[in-house]
Amino acid sequence: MATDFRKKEALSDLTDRIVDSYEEIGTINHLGHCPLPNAQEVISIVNDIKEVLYPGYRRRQNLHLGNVAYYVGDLIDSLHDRLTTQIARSLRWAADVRGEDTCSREKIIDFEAARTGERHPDARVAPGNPADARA
Amino acid sequence: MLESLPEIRRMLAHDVQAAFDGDPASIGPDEIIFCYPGLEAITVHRIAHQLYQQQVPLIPRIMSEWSHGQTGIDIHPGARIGPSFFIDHGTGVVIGETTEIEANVKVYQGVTLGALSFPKDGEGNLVRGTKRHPTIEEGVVIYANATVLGGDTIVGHHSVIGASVSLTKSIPPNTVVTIDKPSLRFREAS
Repeated sequence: MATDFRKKEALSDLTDRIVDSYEEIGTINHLGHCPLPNAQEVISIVNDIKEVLYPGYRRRQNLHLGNVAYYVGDLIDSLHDRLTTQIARSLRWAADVRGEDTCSREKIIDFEAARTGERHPDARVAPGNPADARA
Repeated sequence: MLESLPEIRRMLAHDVQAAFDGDPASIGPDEIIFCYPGLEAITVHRIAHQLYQQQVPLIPRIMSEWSHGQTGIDIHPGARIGPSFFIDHGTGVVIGETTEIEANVKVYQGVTLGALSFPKDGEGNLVRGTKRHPTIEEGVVIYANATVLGGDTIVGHHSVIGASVSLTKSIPPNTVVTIDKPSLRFREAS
């Protein structure tokens, strides 16, 4: 289909109006330097966990007791890193909802410390047991 | 969470066996693992529930709603579901956040384990965190499109809830609940 150049020239104005709406209606956009959990990554994590739970039934075939430990070990190692990242993001989101300033530079470092298991002395993570919620 | 995977595997093995025992159409565990949406839904639920118990926000719901889209089975990650749970067919099943399901329970498509109307506080906000959904004791079977509602509702062990029953009060163990059959009219097609 041929492009209608007359309409394309109006797209920048449309884009401006959409971006303006992000300030006008701030309740359904998340803009900033602290990302939310990534839904596609969470789904990928679920699929990898299912691969661990039901080896041989989902993606990888020709598994046997001689190679399954290598395969599952690689998955578990990857899952640990990815799940921990997503959990850290979700805990930071929860702290943001409570009105805590978790997205300042210092607090980002705190959350990264919590993610890697190094407890920063001033770490402010979600009340309760965020450390227990690590992957 | 990953520490719990061995225990989740043990639970899922019982769920697979429950599906085989509960469905005469099944030819074996392989078919169930490959094909059954009920097993898919309970698998994701047992993962999401583990994170829910650890008070991880957002991620359990992302998981459960993705599973909902995949299977048509809506299980809130807060629901507590015992071993050997089988959802047959599955489409349209809804299991609410504070539902408690004991071992060896079977439900069919369209079953809702839901809440009655939600109480509000003095400012008109929904009261959250109370038990709003029913308790299903061991060995209960709930047939298609039945609805069991309310946090005080307990379905006694080894009871049977017939198709399309709407239940909002507790029943004692070993009770069969059915609705009167509607009358049917037959006439010659024109």
